[in-house]
Amino acid sequence: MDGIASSFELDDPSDWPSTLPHLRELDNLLRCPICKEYFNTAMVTGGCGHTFCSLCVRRCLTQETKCPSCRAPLNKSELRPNRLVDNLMRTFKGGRQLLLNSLTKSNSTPTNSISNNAETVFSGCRGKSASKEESTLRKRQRISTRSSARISNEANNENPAFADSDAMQNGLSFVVLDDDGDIGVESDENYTDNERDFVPAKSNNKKIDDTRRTEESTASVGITPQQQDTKVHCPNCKQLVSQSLINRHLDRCLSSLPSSNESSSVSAVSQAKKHLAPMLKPQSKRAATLALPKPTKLAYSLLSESKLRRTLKDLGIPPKGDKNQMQTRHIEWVNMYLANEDSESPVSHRALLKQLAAWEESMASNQGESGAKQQPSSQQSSSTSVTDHAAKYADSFATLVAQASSAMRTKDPSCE
Amino acid sequence: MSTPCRRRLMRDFKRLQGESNSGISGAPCPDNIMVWNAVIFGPADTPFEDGTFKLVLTFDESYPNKPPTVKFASRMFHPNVYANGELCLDILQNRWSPTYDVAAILTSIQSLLHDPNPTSPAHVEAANLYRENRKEYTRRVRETVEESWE
Repeated sequence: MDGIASSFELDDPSDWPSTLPHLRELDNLLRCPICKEYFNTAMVTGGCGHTFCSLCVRRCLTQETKCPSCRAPLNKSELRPNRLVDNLMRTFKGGRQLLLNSLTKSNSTPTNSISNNAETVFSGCRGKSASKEESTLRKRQRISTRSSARISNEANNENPAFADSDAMQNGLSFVVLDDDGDIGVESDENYTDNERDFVPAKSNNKKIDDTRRTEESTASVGITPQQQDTKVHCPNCKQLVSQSLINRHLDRCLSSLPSSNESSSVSAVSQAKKHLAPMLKPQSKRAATLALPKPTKLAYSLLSESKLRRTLKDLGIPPKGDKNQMQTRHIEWVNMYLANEDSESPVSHRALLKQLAAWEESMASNQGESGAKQQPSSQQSSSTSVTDHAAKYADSFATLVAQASSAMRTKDPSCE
Repeated sequence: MSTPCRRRLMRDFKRLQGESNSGISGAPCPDNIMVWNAVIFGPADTPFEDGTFKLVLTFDESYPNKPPTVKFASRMFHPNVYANGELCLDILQNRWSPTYDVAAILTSIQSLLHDPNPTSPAHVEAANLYRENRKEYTRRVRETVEESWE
């Protein structure tokens, strides 16, 4: 089944070689103890100091007001954001693939690692949602940087490609964005080996050589005040950039930060983050013309179905279904809403409503699907059906026995 | 469709495979990720030694906020296992924590075989024999161990 197959695509602490237990442990520590994913808006508990994803711990506390780790009494009001953990996680996650690669492949040089780190650290801080566009973007960046590197290596600032004023505005990096033809000519020995994983490294590696040059030229060129379309100030370098190109510019601009300031990648991340924040806001503001009121916990048992329906309507969430469905939806909405408020980069309420709908839909469809199969298993109170189950899956159990015993065997010699 | 629960179960599976767990193994049924088959080896230096005990774990969408239902598919003779295979184990009931995963559950059950808790007996005869006639208790357990190989 696809579920099992795809479980091997999940990142996991066991991805690290067993010879590096510290990295395994670090990977583990940067994950939420509940969902086992990397922290998503880490929240620290008041009394006992345990850390979880905001949404995970809120979902737990809805059921039981105890710390999921130590069972100490805990209320939602005692949760505080743990931004350092978020930053640590992003930094680690950003460099993760690179580090794994350099551990498994010997052909990467130290300089490679540093520069790659810079880029990946940054990309980590942009959050998960962007990853798809990011990869396509990176491809284009790769193209552009490689060609721009070539150009600046030739110190040919009079290149006809610069005639385009927008390109000038955005610095060298964007100059030959669509110039695919030339790029193929450039030879890059290690390139194919590392193509998938080292895309950022390649681009950034080149870039480091050219950073100073690029910066100089962007600085000198950046203030040119002729523009056909709306220009905005880059929050990082304060340079005027065409609005349509600001995202790409920002990627470039921010990813060059750590290369000039390699000493502390964590601070680079938070810096990048800080600069990114104003970037994210206009976007969410546009969609957030819809501002929904903050929901509060309700005493559902005291509410009639019609009252609850009205409350849901007032809150702006779908008032459909029976009382049970509305209650489930409201509980999840409260948790989602508050977790979104905890986040450093909250999404718009419109997006949040979509998430709620998606959550509800997946719950419903899965409940139906597994419900059908669960019927027999939940009625397994008689021991015969368990025996039937065991008989049906005799092969599967035989495999498991073999697995467990081989684990025992491999473990024994090391113990003695 | 991937829900938090399903994603977590996939992680649990990967974790269970990745760790070199001594004497526990488990996998989702090929046709339903919400039902898992598992095997626990009887811990060494106990009457359960060498037993290969089969279990079935049933999850629902509330996992990991709620524990799965766990049942032995092999016949057991243990103070905390009901005759129908259900377990009396605090972490699967009122002391459940959403931080537990399948590996933690199986390890806990394995250590329950090692350390029965006769004060909350699910199987009165086994509990009594465990307290009063350890030799007979051992003999009855060994029967189930041999049965488990079939």
